Formats: sequence, structure tokens, C-alpha cells
Amino acid sequence: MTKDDFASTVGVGGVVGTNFTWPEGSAERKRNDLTPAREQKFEKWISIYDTRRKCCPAGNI
Amino acid sequence: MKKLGFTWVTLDDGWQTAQGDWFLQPQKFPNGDADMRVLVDKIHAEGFKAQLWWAAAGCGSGYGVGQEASGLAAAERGWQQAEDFLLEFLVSLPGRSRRHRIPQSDRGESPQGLGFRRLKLDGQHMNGAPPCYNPAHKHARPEESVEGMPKFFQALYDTARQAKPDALIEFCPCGTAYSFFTLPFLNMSVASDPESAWQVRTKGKTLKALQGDSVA
Repeated sequence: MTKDDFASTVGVGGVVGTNFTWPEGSAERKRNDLTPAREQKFEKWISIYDTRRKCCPAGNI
Repeated sequence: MKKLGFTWVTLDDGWQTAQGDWFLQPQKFPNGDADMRVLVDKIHAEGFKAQLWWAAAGCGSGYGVGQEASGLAAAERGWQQAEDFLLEFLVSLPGRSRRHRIPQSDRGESPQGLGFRRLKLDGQHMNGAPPCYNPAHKHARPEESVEGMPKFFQALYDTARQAKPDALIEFCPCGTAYSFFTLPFLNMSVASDPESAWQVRTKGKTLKALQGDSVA
């Protein structure tokens, strides 16, 4: 899903961000629901960002 | 939020009465600024930093400025409102007039900055204004409105950074490209509403090339 393309953001040295509504089902727009699948994806990419943020923005990419 | 590793929390679109008025939505904040202050304090107490969404210079359904007697008055009120907004949301300013804020504030509540550390300025409209031919605005030339848009954002940026030297000013022209004329007046960009990996990567690399590592 394009809106969850964290790889491109991390790859160019960007700061990862999200947009969601919780709990699931409370959003006006269903696409904003924080589903378990999105939660897992967020956790994975925020962790990758945290690990790599000290090197990516300063590197040759 | 902590489990996922977030460090910033943004209060997004929906806290205001209308885009352009920027009064707190009474259904969501029945006690006005006090409720907002509680929310911001809670965000900070939990170890996060608070950011506020704002469609600066935007107006939408329910916008009250359109009821002003003249366009010039509306423009003047709009800028005054923007200035008040910035200062009141970022810093504590004892004794400052709150004439453009919610009615509760006008009844003698002690003015307190609401403590946000960052602003997310949002909307494609921020990229530019068309020439203005409205005689009520008393422009010397129609292009004054075009030239004034970047100056508006320069003033916002300078005011915010003066109030809080470490303030982050995020600029989000949604899925569109940035305007060259407003780029100097932001220190955080976004890859918002991305259409493709190509867009995200091109945007990110272009901004890094233009502004270096100082832009997040």
C-alpha cells in the first residue's frame, strides 16, 4: 500500500510518520483505522527508523 | 503509542470550529483552553512531544471572516488571528489579548500558552495565491497577493521561531510539490499523501539536496 511505503521514506533519510484513528472503527474514514496489521507494520518500520536514523541522513544515498 | 515507538504526537484536523476561525470545537473541548492544556500536558507527561495541525491561511465551510464588512478588514483580522494563534499555542504570554479566541478565554481566563512544540501547516493552498482584483482589498497591484503569500509564511516562521527557537514548522502541501518561494520558511517537510514510491523518493532527495541535513 503506497501510504504505508515506509521503505522509501527511510531510504532517503526521512522521518517516518503515521496517521491513524484508534480504536478501530471509530474513524470517519475507515482507511484511518489502526488495525492490528497496520500496528504491526508501524512497529516494524519505526524500529527500523530508530535503528538507522543516525546513519541514513548523513550517508551517500 | 509507546509500544510502537512514537516520540511525537500530532493533534490533527478536527479540533477547530472551522478552517479559518481556529476556535476550539466546544463539543470536544467543553472547557476551552483548559481542556486543550490538559491534553497537551498529558502528551508531554507521557514522554511525547505535542504538535498541532493548522491549515494556515486557509478557510472552509463555516468560516466567519467572510462575514466581515470588507475584504481588507477580513485580511487584517486574518493576520491578527494568525499571529495570536501562533503565540498562544506555542508560548505563555501573560496579559496578551485573546480577542480572537474562544469566548471562555475572553471572560478573564488567565492566558497561558498551550505548549505545543511543533506546528504542522497543511494544505495545497499554501503554495501560492492568485492575483487579486478585488477593489475592496485596496491592492496597489493585483500581484501584491501573489507576492504576499511567501511573506505571510516568512512572518509565521519568524514569529514561531522567535517565540520558541527550537520550534519545528512542518509544511505539508499535501500531495503536491513545494513552492520554491515558501521553502525557506519551513524546517520540516513531508512525503504526504504519496502516490508512489517514486514520488516519495524524488521529493525526499530533492528536499535534501536543496536544504541539506537541517531539514527533517
